Amino acid sequence: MNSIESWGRLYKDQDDVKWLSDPQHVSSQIYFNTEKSGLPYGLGKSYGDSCLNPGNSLWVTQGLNCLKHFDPSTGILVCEPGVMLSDIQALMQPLYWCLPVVPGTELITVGGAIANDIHGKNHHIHGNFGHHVIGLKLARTDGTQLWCDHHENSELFKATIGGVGLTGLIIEAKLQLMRVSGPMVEAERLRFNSLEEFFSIADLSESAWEHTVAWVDVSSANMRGIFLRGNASPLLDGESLPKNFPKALPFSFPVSAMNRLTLQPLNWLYFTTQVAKLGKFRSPRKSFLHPLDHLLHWNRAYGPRGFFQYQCVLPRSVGLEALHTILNEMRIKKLGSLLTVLKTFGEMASVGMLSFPEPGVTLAVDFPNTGSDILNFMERLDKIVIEAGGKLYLAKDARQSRAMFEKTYPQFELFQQYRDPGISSGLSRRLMGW
Amino acid sequence: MKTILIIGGTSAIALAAVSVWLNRQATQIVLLGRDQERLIRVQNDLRLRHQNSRIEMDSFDISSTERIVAEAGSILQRFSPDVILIAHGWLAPQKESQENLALAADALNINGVSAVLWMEACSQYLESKGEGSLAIIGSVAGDRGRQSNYIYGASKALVASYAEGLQHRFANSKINITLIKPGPTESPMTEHLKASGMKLAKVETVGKDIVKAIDLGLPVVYSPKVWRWIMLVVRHLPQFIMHKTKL
Ligand SMILES: Cc1cc2nc3c(=O)[nH]c(=O)nc-3n(C[C@H](O)[C@H](O)[C@H](O)COP(=O)(O)OP(=O)(O)OC[C@H]3O[C@@H](n4cnc5c(N)ncnc54)[C@H](O)[C@@H]3O)c2cc1C
Ligand SMILES: NC(=O)c1ccc[n+]([C@@H]2O[C@H](COP(=O)([O-])OP(=O)(O)OC[C@H]3O[C@@H](n4cnc5c(N)ncnc54)[C@H](OP(=O)(O)O)[C@@H]3O)[C@@H](O)[C@H]2O)c1
Repeated sequence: MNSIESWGRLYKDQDDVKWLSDPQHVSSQIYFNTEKSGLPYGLGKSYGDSCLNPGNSLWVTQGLNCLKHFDPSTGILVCEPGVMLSDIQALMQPLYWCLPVVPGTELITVGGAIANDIHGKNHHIHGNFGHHVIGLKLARTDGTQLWCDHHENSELFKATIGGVGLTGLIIEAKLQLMRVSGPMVEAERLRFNSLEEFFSIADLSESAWEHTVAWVDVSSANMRGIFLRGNASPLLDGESLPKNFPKALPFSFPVSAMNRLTLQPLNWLYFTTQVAKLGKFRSPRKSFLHPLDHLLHWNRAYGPRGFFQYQCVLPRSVGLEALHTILNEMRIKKLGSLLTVLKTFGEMASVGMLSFPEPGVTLAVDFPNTGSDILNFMERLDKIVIEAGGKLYLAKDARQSRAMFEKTYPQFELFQQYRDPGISSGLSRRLMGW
Repeated sequence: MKTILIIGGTSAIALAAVSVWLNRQATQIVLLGRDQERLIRVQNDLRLRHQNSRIEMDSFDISSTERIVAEAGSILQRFSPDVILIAHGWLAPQKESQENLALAADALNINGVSAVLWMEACSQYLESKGEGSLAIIGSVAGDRGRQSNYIYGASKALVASYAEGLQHRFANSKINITLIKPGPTESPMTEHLKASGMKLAKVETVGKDIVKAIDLGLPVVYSPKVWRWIMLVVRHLPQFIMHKTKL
């Protein structure tokens, strides 16, 4: 019940866990410890080892969950880091405000959203979460607390946004919310029959559609898929919002339910049901943006060995070609994934030194953990990504090499200067030496 | 608008009950506790989350006998609550309290004496008002003295028999006295237990049970419910078996 793990469920070691619940005590609770490093932990929705600190301490922020201030005329919200995005959305909905950027799940914390500088389906318009952070208060393990924004401690601010928890514990965030016309989405589902077609639909959709995302059927030779786009919309007469109760997958599957035998039929099934529903439709924003939140713990369907998510971004100039190569490799190997997601990123430069989004296209695929063959395969994909000038998303990464990280995150040496010496993670020891 | 007073207004369990009440209908909540800064933090949060309700707070040394004796009555008159929940408590470390009687005295005072003085003051207030509900958070630990936790347990047992007495006193009236006995629950009080990997109930579960018990005017409620059966067994374990355990 209180298990501490990351979403990929790849690690079984128990960390030494501290639950933070009182802002007055936080600085003393995280105070520098020469024997063990610490690491902030939100809700563990990162897939790999960025939110884990094996053999050391984790500082769980779920109890730092108070809202501090909201100004309904400017939309500026000040809150503690453990507040969940879903709480903010639910609270702001009747006031016609919302978070400008939310990821595929809203069941994450504000601290986690900042530390991974997360992106959503509207990146081409609103950028990353970090673009809407006005400032934050950082508690460091030397006992200091620093306000950081674009003017004050601005370099530390840039290091902290997307800084995977390594610069200190965010204890307060000041966020700029955005006006929204209502809780619904006016949406459209299109079919594409090739990656070329995907790109042309994406380009045509960017100016008129706020949210865009696509799903690819990796088992198909031509890379067919479904493109979804949508715009916020008010409730129409006679419409009401459903009261949805998330259902948890009540148990872990003894073996992965996603394997070579099931993937092709599942992809086919998904594609056919989606094709049957092509065209315009309306949906509550919550279900449109977070379809999987209705099924809590779906990660358990991958069985006890867990799974990897491989998410890369590729520059637009070589994106098409590189995507073809990657998806073909997967198809030939019959290494499918049920959630193969494509999304184009806009031109807005990220704030954070280690932020993931870059202009281009991002691909996310899930691979069940089948041991060395999948690890070898992902190394093949790494070569393609490096060659293309792309990189992997740290929130999803559990296995890239240090060499790849150093090559693809050119600001990492600058970033190292802003790290808190009392903090490290599984990921930082793997990729940054400490 | 109904007024609900919480004594120990920063308690995680009490706040879980508060959010059930506030999600149900606009309510005036008064949080009473010892630490102003912590109370303001919670008050701000509740105000932002529940804009139609009224959230007040007052800082007061709620476990001081002198202060309760002198001021509890006037505080109750001032806020005039319809429902009162007494929630403050301290899970004293057993070993240390055995060795240091000052700690034992604190434990007995915070969980026991101060709680029952509040119960008496609230009873006077409710009696003069003629109706209302008083709920107190006891503990399963009060059901049987065990070597691992009897100082805290005994202080909760005091609360339990006091509640029983008040239930008798108000038997034929519109005043309800409810005792809630939570099992181990995830809150700041039990962080060390959680860190040791112990299975704990969610405060949301206990919060819901508290609200329901008050609604129904139930005298004693275990939360989560299985604790009723577990404690039935523990209470009836013959001594020679009990003494072989490390409970
Ligand atoms: C179903 C699903 C869909 C997803 N979709 C997307 C998506 O569309 N786009 C996207 O960008 N991501 C997506 N993600 C990834 C997810 O949004 C990120 O991993 C997010 O950071 C998780 O937040 P968390 O609160 O669970 O934090 P955790 O995973 O617990 O921690 C994430 C990082 O934040 C740090 N951190 C947490 N709190 C603090 C704090 N207070 N101060 C400093 N550092 C802190 C941790 O140290 C860690 O490095 C998805 C994840 C899932 C499970
Ligand atoms: N959690 C469990 O497992 C569990 C099980 C059975 C019974 N209970 C009982 O449930 C009640 C609520 O506890 P909780 O779990 O919600 O824990 P909690 O969140 O730690 O709350 C404890 C409350 O008691 C207050 N308090 C502690 N010492 C005090 C003192 N000396 N003077 C005045 N106030 C004091 C705290 O105020 P501050 O914020 O100022 O510290 C806080 O409001 C307590 O009566 C507890 O005994 C808890």
